[in-house]
Amino acid sequence: MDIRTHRSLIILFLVSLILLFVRVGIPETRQILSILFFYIALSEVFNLFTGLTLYVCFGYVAFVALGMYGGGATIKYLLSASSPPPLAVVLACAFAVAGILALILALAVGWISVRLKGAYFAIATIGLNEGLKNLIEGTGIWGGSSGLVIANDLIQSYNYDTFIFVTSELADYLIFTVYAVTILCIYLVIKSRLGYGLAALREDEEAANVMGVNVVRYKLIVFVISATLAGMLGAGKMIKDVAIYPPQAFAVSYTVEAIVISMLGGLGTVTGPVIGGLIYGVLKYVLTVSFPGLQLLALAPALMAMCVMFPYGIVGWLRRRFKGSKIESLLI
Amino acid sequence: MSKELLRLENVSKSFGGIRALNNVNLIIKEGEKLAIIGPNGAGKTTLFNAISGVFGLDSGRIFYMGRDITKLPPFKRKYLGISRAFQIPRPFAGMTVLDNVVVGALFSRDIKDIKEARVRAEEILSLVGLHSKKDELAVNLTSPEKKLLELARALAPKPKLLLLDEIVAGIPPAEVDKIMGLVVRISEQENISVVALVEHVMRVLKYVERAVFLHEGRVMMDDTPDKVLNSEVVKDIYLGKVYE
Repeated sequence: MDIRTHRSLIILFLVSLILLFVRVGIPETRQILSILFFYIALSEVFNLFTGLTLYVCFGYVAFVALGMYGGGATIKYLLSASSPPPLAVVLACAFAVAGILALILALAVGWISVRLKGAYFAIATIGLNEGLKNLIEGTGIWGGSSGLVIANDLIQSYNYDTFIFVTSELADYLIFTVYAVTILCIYLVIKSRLGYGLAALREDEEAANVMGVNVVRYKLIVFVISATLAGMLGAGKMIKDVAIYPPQAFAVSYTVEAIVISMLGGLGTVTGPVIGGLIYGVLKYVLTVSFPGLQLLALAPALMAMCVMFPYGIVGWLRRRFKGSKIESLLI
Repeated sequence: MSKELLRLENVSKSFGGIRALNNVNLIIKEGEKLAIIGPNGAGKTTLFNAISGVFGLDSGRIFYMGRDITKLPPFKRKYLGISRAFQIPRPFAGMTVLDNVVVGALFSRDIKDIKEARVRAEEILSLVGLHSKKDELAVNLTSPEKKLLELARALAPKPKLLLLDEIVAGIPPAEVDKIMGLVVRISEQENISVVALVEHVMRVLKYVERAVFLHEGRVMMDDTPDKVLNSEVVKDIYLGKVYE
């Protein structure tokens, strides 16, 4: 592997790392940056499927929620033993279970739905959230409608200081790790045969099929990878929030923010969600401070204006603007 | 006699009440250059869709190199060496010219990785004369250039069977000679069988060895281009109207 060909990825990783540590250096930014990072990570995960295929999955939040529940339930189960295992083992198990559950759900849903084209796929996945939410509330598994809370389990099994460290520090690093794995995945996919196939199917699915691209399999592969990472991100969020309630867990609103961020930054690019996330985060923050209570009213026209100005996302616009220069090669 | 490459046995396909293909039997040999002619609506493009696997057949079977491919999806047929250029060019508009051809090359049996696909794509682009445009977005090409790109994409995977759907339609006469000359040269170099669909048969007459006349989903004649053109059947149905 030649380092120079991967320079852009390494730079992006370093920039992200700097952002991560700004929150340590400047305590005031901690809260905002850690929320922002979750959204950037979610946008990257979302981008891995939607950006590369231009298929929109309305049921996306279900994978995050399933990861939260899976991770939370695993932690609760392991800590209910008389002598709880070490923290690292508990967290590793939580991530593994979250990922596996999301993977199984994605395989089951994807196996059927990726055979559908375009909007039909979106329609087929629309019931996923509500279905899962009603299943949990109706059957009462994982706490049912009263939710799943793991704060006490963590405090009793370890101690209060560990609890604070895990939820306010470690959780952010875990979310960052999922983010780093996701950008690596997108990068590797884009550079591979799979990436060429996806780029072709994104442009013209039927022509791609005639040109030898196994469209159904390719869509399923990225759908499953993306959903698995979404589940793991859910586990990270669970460790951070230490509680989950069905109405919030299955709220479509935060996946919509992920969609906005990746479209703003540039669908199908690695750098897009980071740039989009920063702009969106700053915009939202500034508007909240200057127009308290009216921020959503102000945010919508601001986003519309940006979508009109940058139809290919900011990264897409920058790539066209600096075509052939070094800047273009950095904007993966 | 060269070996048989593709065989269609009693292939039929209907759309609603219209029999687009009606018991078509056709054998294509290795390295053969063949034109399928017929007026608008004769079933030419449907025949190509059947060969490339875009839809299932109502009845009949298709054999490729002795293997029954009737039920194979399009991408597997491409993998086996059946390559197609669309009538209306369908380039991947947001990708560069080079990447378009790389996609064509990459998904085939003979090309192993992206590096090899790139080498092959550059080679083909030089052959068709689009090499200087390789970094442009496909959407920015002119119409004849898009046809050339379509041809390059279809040739890139080193196919055994090249299906050209109206490759010279809407192309100025001077360009027709250039494109068909290329097709003949490359297909002879690489032993590719070529099937060209044409409505205006005169334009490709001198480049093919055999012509099949299709009308209302049936094979009406299958002979040398001269004989097909001069037959009474063809004149009545087809040429008579054109040259009135």
